[in-house]
Amino acid sequence: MTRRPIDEKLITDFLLGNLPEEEIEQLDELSLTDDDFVMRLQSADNDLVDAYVKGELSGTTLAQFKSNYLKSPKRQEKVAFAQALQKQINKPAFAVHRPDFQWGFAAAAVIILLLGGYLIFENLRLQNQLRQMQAEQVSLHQREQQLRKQIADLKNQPSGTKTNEVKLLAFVLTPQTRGANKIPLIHFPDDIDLLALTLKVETNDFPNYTAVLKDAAMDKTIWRSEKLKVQNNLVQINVPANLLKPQSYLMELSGISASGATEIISSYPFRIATQ
Amino acid sequence: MANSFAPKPDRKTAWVLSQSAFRRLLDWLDEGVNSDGSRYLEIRRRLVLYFDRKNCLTPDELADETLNRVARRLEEEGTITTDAPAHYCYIVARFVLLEDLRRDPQKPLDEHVVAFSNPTEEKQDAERRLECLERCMETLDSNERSLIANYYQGELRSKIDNRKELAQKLGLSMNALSIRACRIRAKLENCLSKCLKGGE
Repeated sequence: MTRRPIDEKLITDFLLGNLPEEEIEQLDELSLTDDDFVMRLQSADNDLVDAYVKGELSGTTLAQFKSNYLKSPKRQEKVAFAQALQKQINKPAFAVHRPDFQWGFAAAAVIILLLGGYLIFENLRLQNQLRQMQAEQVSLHQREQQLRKQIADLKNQPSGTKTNEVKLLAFVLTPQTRGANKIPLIHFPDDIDLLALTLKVETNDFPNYTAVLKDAAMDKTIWRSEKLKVQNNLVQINVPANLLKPQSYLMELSGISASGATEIISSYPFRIATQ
Repeated sequence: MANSFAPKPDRKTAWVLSQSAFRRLLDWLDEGVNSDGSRYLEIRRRLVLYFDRKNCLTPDELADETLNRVARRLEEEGTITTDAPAHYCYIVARFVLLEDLRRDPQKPLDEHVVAFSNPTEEKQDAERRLECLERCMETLDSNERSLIANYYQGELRSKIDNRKELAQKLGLSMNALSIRACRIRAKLENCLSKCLKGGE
């Protein structure tokens, strides 16, 4: 059977029990085995419950929500949580404050002060961001130089030590987004020993990281890294080239918290093509 | 392969999860990267949600039963190499579900549709829940609090636009923003659950 693309609509139908048995089984399997799908399922589940709480569901969807979704006490508890969360975030402390007319001048003065402060803050933030980007660029450049030097050193070794020569191919990957981004294609010469990947990460919330390389079609783990560190929002990984063949792969980067708990941060799809 | 998961009633009742069998299960689920049990907890959470979606009366017990069977198989065989751990757990879970349905073909939750308590109790519960959530919100740092408040603001189209704007402001992709919001929401749900049980 050909698989439909997994979009929000399909996931919502799955949560409402509104799919043929065969599709339910496929998604059930993914709900245990595919970390990315698990996150999307969790997000869609939250949005579905919120939509019910805000009265945004209607017709068949509302009927199915009431008759299927609300059967379970655990899911009823999710609804109760969503109701409380909505109340909490709609409290005045979270809402946009609208000053009274008689306080207009005072409010205007405060706003001007805040705006001034905000502009200074924003300026500093942008400067900081610029510095960070420059540091990232420098770091990438250094990494490139380092790899070039490594290759050059290895090439310059006497012919007697030729057997120890290590050939690297370096590539920078950015995180996968929900949009239909083009998957990076890595042209891979036959004589490469290591694929040196640089992963760009958006945040650095964890003390350590780990990466898993998966066969994208089979969702099978092929290789796992040691503990990694993020430096200047970049992670460096060397993958043995003999594990790679012309096909699609997914590199999953997980954060490891101080307690040892792991959490997937980003996925980096790429394809290998031989030269 | 299916037969290897089939029920073996004589041994099932006799087998008890020992500390060494549990340790072996944790190691196998970790696939070489020590997670200090968090991988086990994550697989268990996914199993509970699976059985809950199937409207089983006792999703937690069925998740434990699934993991016990996997642990028993690991103890008998030393390791399992035929499938990745999560996939193997799914296969076993399907058998556990079939057995559960066979035991109780009526899907008992059908008879318990939305069994809410009386209005006074409901109101008291809602107030208690709000108090707890307020306390849980205070345990978040200001960035997390601001993110969750902004992420869940708005309705329908405006909610989507709002999230795009928020992602842009924080310099995150929509995917990373959604993962972060889910993580904070799960933290709040856990905190609320503990608070309602009197734990926090």
